[in-house]
Amino acid sequence: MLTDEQRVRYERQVLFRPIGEAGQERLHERSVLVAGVGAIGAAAAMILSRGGVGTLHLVDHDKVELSNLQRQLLYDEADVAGSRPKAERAAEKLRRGNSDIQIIPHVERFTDENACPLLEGVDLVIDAVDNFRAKFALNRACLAAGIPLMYGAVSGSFGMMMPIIPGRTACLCCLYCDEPDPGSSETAATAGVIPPIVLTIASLQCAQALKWLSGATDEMVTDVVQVDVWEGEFALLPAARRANCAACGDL
Amino acid sequence: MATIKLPTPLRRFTGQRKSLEVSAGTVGDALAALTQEFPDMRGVLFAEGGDLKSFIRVFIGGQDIEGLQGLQTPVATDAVIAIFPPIAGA
Repeated sequence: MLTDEQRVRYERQVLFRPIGEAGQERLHERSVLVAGVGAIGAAAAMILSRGGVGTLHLVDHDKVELSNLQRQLLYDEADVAGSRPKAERAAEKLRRGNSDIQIIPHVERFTDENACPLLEGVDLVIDAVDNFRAKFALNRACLAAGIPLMYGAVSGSFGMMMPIIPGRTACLCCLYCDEPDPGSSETAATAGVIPPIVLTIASLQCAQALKWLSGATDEMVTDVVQVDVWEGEFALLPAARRANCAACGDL
Repeated sequence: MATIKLPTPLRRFTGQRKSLEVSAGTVGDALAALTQEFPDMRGVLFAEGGDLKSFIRVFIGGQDIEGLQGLQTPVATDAVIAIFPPIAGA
């Protein structure tokens, strides 16, 4: 049951009927891991923390750099000067916006090796890592643990989002078959990236996350959502499960 | 003429062109026309043996060609072909 303070804090979200008070109570009991707290991850963590997800795990090994500030909206120049780990700095800042929840920083990369302890007790994962090796590690770990993963990626003004529900929807391997070779795709370092697409993809991930966590688990988007904010284009492309998928074919 | 839509992550290989009109009987023909116009796209789309790279997905009319007839999928004159680029930035 929500406290009086929580009723005030989350009033506008509770008024949103698909969530309501029961959904808000569920959110407060849930735990989300945000893998990568750079551009997408910082934006997602801001949304989920303000929205009252009970526990947030922030996983990132990087420190804040000057070139991050253009699109990583949680950080500022003092963080660059202090050379602080993003996970710790993000946790400190997010607590100022919501002291009603638990925020736990993990200054490390997400890998196959540390996946099990990191995912212990986690209900959903936000993919905000910036390379295919880490994305495929997240895919494997979440499938093995039966945890929904919100895939997200950006390049330039273009981005994609797809909820991966183990055993129900296509996974990253269904989508890409094999891990793309390093250098086969654009990164922020080669194609650049503009903040509007970062916020759009993080918002799409978080909308689906809030939907799942608040209990509307049968209403998830199952397509790949493609957006180009520069062109004003938005497309849904069907993502079919592969029966012979090496990662999820036996689920 | 069918239209191949080129998402922004692929436009560095197409001189920033956003789309290409092609006259083609199959998706394979359409992609051959694309790589003829923009030779750098060949290495992006195709493996050495000539098959589509495993992580490249191609849609026609919103349907994945893998669930149709692959590169042999017929192309209607007003078809829209979309290429799904692998991206991992965050």
